[in-house]
Amino acid sequence: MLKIKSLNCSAMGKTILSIDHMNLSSGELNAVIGANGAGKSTLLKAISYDISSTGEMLFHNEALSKWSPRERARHLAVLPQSSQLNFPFKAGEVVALGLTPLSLNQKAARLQIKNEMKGTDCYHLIDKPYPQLSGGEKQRVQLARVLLQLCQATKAPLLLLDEPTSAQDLGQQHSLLKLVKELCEERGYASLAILHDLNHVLAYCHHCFVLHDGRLAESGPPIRCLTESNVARYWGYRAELVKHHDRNVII
Amino acid sequence: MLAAAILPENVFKRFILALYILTTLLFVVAIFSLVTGPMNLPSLEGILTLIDQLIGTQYNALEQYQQVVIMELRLPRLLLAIMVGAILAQCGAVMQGLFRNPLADPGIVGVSSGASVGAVLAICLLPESIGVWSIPFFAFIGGLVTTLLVYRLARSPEGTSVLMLLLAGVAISAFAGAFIGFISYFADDQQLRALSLWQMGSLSGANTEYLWLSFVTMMGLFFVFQRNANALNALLLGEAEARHLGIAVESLKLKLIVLVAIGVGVAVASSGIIGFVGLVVPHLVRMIIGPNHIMLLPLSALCGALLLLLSDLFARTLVQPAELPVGLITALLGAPFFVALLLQQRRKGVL
Repeated sequence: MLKIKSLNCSAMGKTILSIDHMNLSSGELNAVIGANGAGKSTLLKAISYDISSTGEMLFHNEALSKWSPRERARHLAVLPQSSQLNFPFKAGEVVALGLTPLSLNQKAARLQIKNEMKGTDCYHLIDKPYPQLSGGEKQRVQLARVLLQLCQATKAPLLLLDEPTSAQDLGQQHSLLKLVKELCEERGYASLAILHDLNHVLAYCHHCFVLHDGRLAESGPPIRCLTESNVARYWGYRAELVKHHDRNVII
Repeated sequence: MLAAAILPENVFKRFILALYILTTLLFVVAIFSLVTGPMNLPSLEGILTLIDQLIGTQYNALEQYQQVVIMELRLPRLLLAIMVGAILAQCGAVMQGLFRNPLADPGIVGVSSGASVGAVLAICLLPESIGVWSIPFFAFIGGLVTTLLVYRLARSPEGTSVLMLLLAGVAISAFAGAFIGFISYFADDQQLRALSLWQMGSLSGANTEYLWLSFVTMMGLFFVFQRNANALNALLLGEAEARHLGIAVESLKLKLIVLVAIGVGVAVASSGIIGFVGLVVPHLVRMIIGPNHIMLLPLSALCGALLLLLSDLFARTLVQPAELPVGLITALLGAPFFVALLLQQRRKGVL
């Protein structure tokens, strides 16, 4: 659904990201991994048009730049890493901002807000002031907002997640990734998530992209990409890949 | 529109109730203000005079000179207070949304000072023949340049820095003060009077041109701001987040900056620097109704009108028959109130 060809991003005359070829398919949770400074955030920002880039990005066979902002917003959403919201919106109002590009009537909108908040397990927070929520609760409210934003998509939507697990405790990290994986499989979403924990990648992702020095170094199923030699090469860490109750674990 | 539709019902009811209460209060205070002053008149006669003037009847029992006081002195001033108050409060609310910072205010960050430099330049350097519109126009240019400057100074990817915002305000106000002080050396007596008015704020200069200008500005700002209320809500999440929601963020910001500069320019040109209205009013409204611009903007407009009307009433009557600059009153009311607000917010852990 998203085809990237010879994508180039530069900052201050230096190329910081250069990707020849990259494909995302619907129904898959894709991980972007790599050491710090490898270009993970740059890649996400290029896809979401937060920074300018050259090259070609085809989304459902049409150049992403040709999509109208409104249509693009209905099909491409970004879950931010952290949101600096200094104003005491209620959690429900934050979710309701996801209605911005949509055309739901009042009744449908209320219902959809309720459904998305229940789906991300934050409906009980609907009347709480957002700034007073914990990091994990904020993240779930934001996820409900972006899911609401995508609920009128006519083609498979793309969800970008910028380090979705960074503000969460262990249990929340796993429930979030499980939820995103289910969304991809059940609703046919494609997701592209920046992750740091390689075991999360092994456990939840269908596909992973390893970035190294601004280039796409590896692409494939996690178990093929995350070999002991690759981890040593790209992260400079001598890891051990072991099998535990049929699960692959990196230690 | 949608976001208004999905407001929790109890919040929406509170909004409607607040609209009613504020409108009623505004009306009552306006009538009271019309008949109060060095020459007190019966309230009923004041209302009757207004009705007579509107529909050409003769119900009131006031002398001719009393009618003149009402119609030609107090009414224009009252209308100007209402409109300037509404403009300043809306501009404050929008500026806080735009800067994603509840401390932004046209007075505090120096936009009013910048506008006053423009106005002073127009008063002292331009020949009077250019006409009454040159002052608001130059005030607008001054306000626009300052807003853009402050915005460039204070913005960062995470929003705007409070520190830079306040420091920029200090620097710009200092510069504007020095500049106006410098100009005043070369001003004649009449210009000096005008200059002191611009620095402290006064509504005594209400005339027909400014009333129309303020009216058109107030209505224009109200409609455009209201149309962009949901986009402003989204902007509070962050610029990137708003863009991801399909909002054309850059053109929105430019539009809002220009409109705020127009609003502040018109307010400063017609009544000088009146501080704290744009800061205190949106804060107060947010405490009642929350930060949603769809409700915040109309309530701020009403509340700002009420605050400035009351302030001007005090300014006219405290030391009558002389009068104080209304900017002094808003600062006296506004500054301690603001400190109290800050303390309360800190206790709640919001700030």
